Amino acid sequence: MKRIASLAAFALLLALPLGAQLPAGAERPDAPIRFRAVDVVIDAGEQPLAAWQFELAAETGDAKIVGIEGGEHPAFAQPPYYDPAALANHRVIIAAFNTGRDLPVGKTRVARLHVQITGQAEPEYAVRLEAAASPTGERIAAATITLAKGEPK
Amino acid sequence: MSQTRPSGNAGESRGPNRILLAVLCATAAVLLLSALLMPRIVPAMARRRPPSAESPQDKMAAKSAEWAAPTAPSTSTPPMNTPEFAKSEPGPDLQPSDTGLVRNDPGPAWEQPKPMVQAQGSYSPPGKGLTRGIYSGRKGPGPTVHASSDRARRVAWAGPNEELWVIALPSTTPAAPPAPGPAYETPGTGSLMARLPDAQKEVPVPLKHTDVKAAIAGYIATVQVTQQFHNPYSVKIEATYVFPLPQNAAVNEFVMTVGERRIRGIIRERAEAERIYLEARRQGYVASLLTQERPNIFTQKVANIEPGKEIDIEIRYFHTLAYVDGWYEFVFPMVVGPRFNPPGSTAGVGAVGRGRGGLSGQATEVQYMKPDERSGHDIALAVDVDAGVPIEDVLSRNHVVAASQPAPSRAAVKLNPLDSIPNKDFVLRYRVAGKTVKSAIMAHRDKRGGFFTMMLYPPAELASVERAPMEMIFVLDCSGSMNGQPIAQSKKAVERALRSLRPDDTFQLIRFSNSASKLGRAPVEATPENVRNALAYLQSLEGEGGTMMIEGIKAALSYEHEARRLRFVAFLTDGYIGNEEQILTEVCARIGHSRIFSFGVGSSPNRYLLDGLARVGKGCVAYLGLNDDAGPVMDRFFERVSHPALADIEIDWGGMQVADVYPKQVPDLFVGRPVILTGRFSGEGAASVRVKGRVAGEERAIALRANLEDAAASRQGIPCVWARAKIEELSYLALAEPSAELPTQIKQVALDYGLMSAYTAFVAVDSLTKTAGDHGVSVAVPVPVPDGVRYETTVEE
Repeated sequence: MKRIASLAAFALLLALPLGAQLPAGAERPDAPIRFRAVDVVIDAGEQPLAAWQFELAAETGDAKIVGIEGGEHPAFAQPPYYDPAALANHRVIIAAFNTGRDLPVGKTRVARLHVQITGQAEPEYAVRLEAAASPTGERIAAATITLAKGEPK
Repeated sequence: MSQTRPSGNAGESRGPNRILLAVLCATAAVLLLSALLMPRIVPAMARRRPPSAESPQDKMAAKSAEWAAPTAPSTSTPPMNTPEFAKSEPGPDLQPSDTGLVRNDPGPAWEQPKPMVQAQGSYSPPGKGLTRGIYSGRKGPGPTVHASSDRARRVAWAGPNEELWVIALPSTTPAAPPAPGPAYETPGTGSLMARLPDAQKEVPVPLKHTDVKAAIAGYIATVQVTQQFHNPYSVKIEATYVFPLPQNAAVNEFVMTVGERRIRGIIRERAEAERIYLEARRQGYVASLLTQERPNIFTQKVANIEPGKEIDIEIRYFHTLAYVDGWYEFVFPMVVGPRFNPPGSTAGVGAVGRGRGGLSGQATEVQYMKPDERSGHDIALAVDVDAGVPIEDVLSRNHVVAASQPAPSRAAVKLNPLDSIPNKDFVLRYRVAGKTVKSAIMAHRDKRGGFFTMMLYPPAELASVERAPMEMIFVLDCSGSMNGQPIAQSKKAVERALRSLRPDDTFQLIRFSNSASKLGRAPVEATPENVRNALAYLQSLEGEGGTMMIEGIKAALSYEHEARRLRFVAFLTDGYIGNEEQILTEVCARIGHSRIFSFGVGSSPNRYLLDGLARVGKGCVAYLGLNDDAGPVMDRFFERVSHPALADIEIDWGGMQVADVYPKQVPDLFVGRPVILTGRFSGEGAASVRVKGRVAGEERAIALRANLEDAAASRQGIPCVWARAKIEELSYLALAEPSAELPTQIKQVALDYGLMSAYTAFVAVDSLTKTAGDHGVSVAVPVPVPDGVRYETTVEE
């Protein structure tokens, strides 16, 4: 219980507030531009993770996704698909599934997002785990999602 | 005393003569022996020597090995006349050696006989008989390749037990490209390998290899293209590659691989994607950008490739296959042909020599290698066909392939690795069982709703209705790019057509290059005398000068139409122009009652233009490759125009709730040429669809059944095909009725479905791979001119 609470708190730190939209991205020629990586981590607890879907938006700051990379476990190593229609609405919905037997358990990075950030402010992201499922298709209710700064290995 | 010579002196004076005689005799003997034995010894030397040696003998052996290599393009090359060559001529059990064979590259197309790679390969399933004879194959259960060309069979592979070595100098890092400046796109000098004949120079390029994997289900192809970029220089580079894809390709996936990491690219508005890419490039990040210059021309940019590093780009697209006279046709274009741009234009596609970037002044520019140059860039291609019905025959028009048939309805086709120079379209045709193919609907449903494609085949009874007298206008492209084989093919086709006209038909012959001229002031009757005169005029035509196609269009469509005749314009061209939109717009404005039947001539015609001409010209397109027999191609055209089309088509969708069907105006159905419609649907169950049309004033109908329950979410390509068709529809609408709204609509469709378009682009940035310094030197990937096209008459230097 204590573990779940701490994870939730960490997720809140990185993800508050939820439901926000990525700014329209009006061009600011003089604003500094930098590129960063954001890791998306799902903790499915003791159940093997076979499918997941999350939605992400930047609540503050100007951030644009410029690349999507896969996760650390072989089951989700391939770059996941995104919904292009959602992207047009300044948010991104990303999902993947794997029907194999070798699936991650516990905490695993499922995706890495490459982001272009414009302006001094560090964006605040809102991330929502829309689905996490076991190989039998059952929803993993206890699964949590967090964001972390992407670092090279 | 001084006058007396010692005998020894006399002897001394004879001595050198004897020695000279002996030397001469020995030399003659050596020469004779060499003539007899060298053809056998040298390949043997080549086999025995290790590949790293550099002695003159090794070089000689290497060269001989190359000469003996199976890709020797000409029957006139020296080894082909040797006993060794004859010995290595393939038989049924012959297998090519795949151990390090290096092509003896064809030189300038106009100097060389038809190269081996033009051989027409064909595959027949087991039990169908080898009607064309075996070209090459592998021992054991591997695939077998057939060829129809006797010349192709005579191009020898290594013998079954022979092993060929190619001697190569150790790889060295080429000099760094020069610093940015007026000629900054010039890559470094020097060649990587010393294994080519003296006349050929291998130039280092940042594109190493292209791998193509296609899967065909029914008449929809899913194609995965992987471009392997690398940096052979000593400084950091940005690689730029202008390449073709099919004109109806729905490109919806883009992945960049940096080392072990794969990064999916994001679809963005084009301008936004370009800004992201430029900023990432400026900051030293590894990044890539894919833009569309024409529906069939794309530019790939990869920034910040460090020396010795590799970056792969994967592109996936879907497209529908054409069905032509009983054959399905899959095409993968490999090179953009050199385009001509009218004076004053800047939005065209320039064709310049390697290292001459910026010379053309056009928005898009392709750099071409000289005839004596080649790059190490090669291509591998594999196609898996699942036809759903038994496949009767498979035919490769331009390339040597290996094929197998794992099941009656499936075929696996692979490009022969020795035929891997990307300088012509890969054209694969397959024929399925049955006299005719029935019209059918394929459906797909997902959270966005239902999508379908429908291939409509013309009713068989069309072929029994005779045509009215016609007015036939032949328009020949006589520009420089047509010089040589292409114009020879055009002439053969027109000659066949002229001889096929009926006396009650009329005809006109128009040529164009820098300007247009005609056989006569008006069309004349197809009397024997007029046909003779036309043939004489036809033979006098040559390919030279620019491609002012607009003049040809105006000349062809500006006649008064004789109401009692059907008016057909046969337009024969390679389509190598950069102002396609201007041409198509002009046709839209002038078409009237005429119909245009376009003929794409050559090894890599501009299929976007040629398909577009047929579409806006309400006719059909046909392709006349350099290996095709022009007669049958023109005969099929006459078969098509000799019977009226099913016109004024209307569709009763039965219980199907249908919307957004493209093309909105259903094209007329000609004999042997089905059309593909695609649309959205809602509802479930089965529906009876009825297609009505008129033939020579009488109503005809086609009935087909749509099972929407079958619309499992497994045909992922169908929504992309639909979205691509909508974009095409809007683009053609913009030609006829320009509107500020249309580009916005096109962009929105492309963004919603994640597709490439003129207004969208894919961008990928690896934010974890930042290189030192700024973006380095931009290097264009130079390409060969298409097979059969002359560099001298098409490329600006």
